[in-house]
Order: sequence, then C-alpha cells, then structure tokens
Amino acid sequence: MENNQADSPAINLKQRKLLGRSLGVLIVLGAVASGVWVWRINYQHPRTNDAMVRADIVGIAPEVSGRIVALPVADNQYVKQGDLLYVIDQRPYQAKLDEAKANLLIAQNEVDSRRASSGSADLAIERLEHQRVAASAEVSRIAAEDEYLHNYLQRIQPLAEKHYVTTDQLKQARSRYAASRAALADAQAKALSARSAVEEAKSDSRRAVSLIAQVGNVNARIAAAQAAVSAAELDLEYCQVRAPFNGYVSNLNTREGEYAKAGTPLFALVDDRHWYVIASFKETYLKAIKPGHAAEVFLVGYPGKRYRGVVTGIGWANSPDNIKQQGVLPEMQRTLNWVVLAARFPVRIEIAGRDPEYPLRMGMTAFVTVLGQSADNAATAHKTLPTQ
Amino acid sequence: MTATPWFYNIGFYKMAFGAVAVVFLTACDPMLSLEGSFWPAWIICILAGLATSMVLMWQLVRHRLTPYLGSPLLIAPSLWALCTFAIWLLFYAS
Repeated sequence: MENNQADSPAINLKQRKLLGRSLGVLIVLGAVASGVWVWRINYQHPRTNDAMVRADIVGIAPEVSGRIVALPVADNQYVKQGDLLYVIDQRPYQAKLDEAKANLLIAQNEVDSRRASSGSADLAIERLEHQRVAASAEVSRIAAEDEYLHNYLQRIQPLAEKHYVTTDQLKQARSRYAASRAALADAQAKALSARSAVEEAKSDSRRAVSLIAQVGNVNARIAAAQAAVSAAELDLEYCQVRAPFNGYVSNLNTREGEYAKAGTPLFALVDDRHWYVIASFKETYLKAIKPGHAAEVFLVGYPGKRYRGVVTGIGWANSPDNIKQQGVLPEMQRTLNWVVLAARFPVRIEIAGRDPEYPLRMGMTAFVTVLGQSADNAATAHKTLPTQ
Repeated sequence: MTATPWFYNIGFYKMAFGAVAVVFLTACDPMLSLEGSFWPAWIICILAGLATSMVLMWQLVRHRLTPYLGSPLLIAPSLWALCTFAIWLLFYAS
C-alpha cells in the first residue's frame, strides 16, 4: 500500500524532483540558519553547568579558652541571631573579674592616699616658706646690727688713740662686732638652709603629684584599673558564644567537656541570609555578562524548579597558571600549546527568590543562564510568565 | 482510492504545530539526570537529532525523494545538524 502511495499519480516525477531539490536546499540552509541562531542565543544568554550553590561560612571560634560546660545546639540545627551556641566554664573568668574589681578599689584608695600626701607636701612647702622668710628677716636684722657695730668700732678707734675711750671699751666694741659677724654668718646659713628645704619640699610635692598620675580629668591609675575590669567583663561575656546571624550549624562533632581553644573554630555556621551561586564562565562570554543582569538558576537536585537570580559581580583575579614562583625567580614551563583553553572566571549570582519547600544547600550542582537584561525588567517579565 | 501523502495533509501540519507550541511553552531542564550523573543538553540534542534525522531520512527514502535532495555527504550531516539545532531551540533555548 505504501508503494501505491509513493507511485500515486499525485506525485509525478517532475513534482518529486522539485520537492526533493527544495527540501535539499531547505535542509542545508536550515542547518546553517539554525546553527547561527543557536550560536547567537548562546552568546547573548551565556549559560554554564559549572556552577555551585554557595553561602558564606563562618567558623565559630571562642574568644577565650576553657572547657565547654553547655552545648545547647546540635549539628545541622537552625539558629537565629543571638541564640546561645555554647558556654565555656565561667569560673576562672569570674575570679579574674573579681580580682580586677579589687585592684580598681586598691587603685582608687592609693590615688586618694597620694592626693592626701600631695596636700601635706603643699602645707610643708608653705611652712618652710615662712621659715625661709623669717630666716631672711633675721639676716637683715643681724646685718643692720652688724653695720651699726662696725660703724661704732670705726668711730671709737680714733678716740681710743687719743684716750677718750678706754681700751676695755674698744675691746668690747671689737668683741661685739666679731660676735655680730658670726651671728650674721649663722643667720645667712640658716636662710640658705631654709631655701634648700623649700626646694626639697617642692620637689617632694612634684613627685607626689606625679605618683597620683592625674592627666587632665583622667587618672591613669584608676583608668588602667577600670580597663582591666572591662577586659575581665568582656572575657566573662565571651564565655557565652552566641550566633552572629541566622544560619545553620554545620560540622559540629563534639559535645560538653571539650576544651575549646581561643581562635580555634569548633564548628561552622552557614549564613542563611544570602545564598548565591558561583558560576564559572568562559572568558569569551564575560563581555555579555554585566552586574545587575537577571539570571535563571536550575538546580539538578530539584528538577523542574527554577530560581531567579541577579548577577552581582564577576571575579577580577584568577591565579595565573603559566608561571610559578620558586625562590626569587619565576619558573617558566617549556610548553608548546597550540590549542589553548579559555580561562574561566567566577561569576557571582545572588539567588533572589527562596522556596522553603526547596531548601538550598551549599555545594548543590547548578545550571545558570544569564538572561542578559536588568533584574527589574526580568522580574516584570517573570510576573507575566507562568511559574513552574 | 488514492491516499494523500503526509506532506500534503493539512491535519499533519496542525498536529505538528500543536506539538511545537506545547513544547515551546514547557522548556526542559537544562541537564538530564541519570542515576546521579548529569548529562548536558548538547549531548541529548546530538543523540536525539541523530535519531530524528534517521527517521526523516527514512521517510525521504520511502517517498523516493533522496535522489533529488543533493549530495548525501552534504544532506545527511546537514539534516542531522538541523535536527540537533532544532531540538535545542525547541526544548532548551528558553
């Protein structure tokens, strides 16, 4: 019957020739045209299956060391920002805080005591200053008396030669003058001593002031003790480790009793606020990808499900693989690469829409298509299309 | 009674248009999962294009059109390429 169809008079040889040649031309032209079409679509909407779902990971390390006494979270548990993750034994840090507070009290008392000492030194300076003034006045008084006795001796000496005064009176005048000279020297020495005592007292006062360690309105001793208290309070607070953001506990493989070392992560926290895809695009397609472009993300784990995404950035640096640094000189490989593969750069695509029924997990295999239009336009277009 | 050939049958084109329209509205997933291994679309298109081109070529042979198509060395790979690209455009372009 098929041969009857083929041999039917409706298709004669001429028609068959015309149809056959037309189909041949259409097949060749169609192959070329469809190939060009495919190439254009692939260039305008770059796509890659070399992509993975990512989230920011933070290692949860304690700020202080100690034994873990409480661990209220479990592996893979969802935690909210501020939730308690684990508690380190607080007793040593509480003792340090108490010690710091005691040291603060001691510092305050010491400062008060030194301030009192400084006040006493000021009073001593005032007293010694009065003594110095009195000594100076005594020097002046004795000097005046000494001058009088000197004048008196000079006056009676000529009179003694003419025997108007007795020898005894002359000797008495000389004796009183010599005593006056000695008294004057003694008073001057006392005045110098009083001045030295004043200088020494001032020096002591300055030393007392410096020991108070007051700088403007801040007392350095008390401030240092208060800083020690703050540091101890902070250490005590660090004993309770809390979630810095909403996320998932990951790789928690220990329990209470473990000794936690400061700076060593106990487990990881997966940031649930931002999920993104890192897609490796060939460098030849980067010209068609711009930050802000909308993208479509397909996860092989969820067939039929499409996620909307936005290109947020393209990597600026890749490790160059044609050069190695050995010592101080570059090591250049002897190669003869005729066919060179295109380099790939990481393109970051922020996943915009989340679906609780299709939870995202870091490391999921993704297929990304950059739609090549701004995310706003894509969102508008998405509203007009049926969602899958 | 004479049977009408398939390429003169209007119903065939209506049915084909309907099938194409349905396909355009529902794009396939860009990767085929087979027991944990993911196959890219281009491999699927090449294999499906090969099968489709073989069926089409069989139809052309059946209706004695192949002698007039042109050189088989040109027509056969062109038909394969056309089928491959067409399947990609229908199922995976969107």
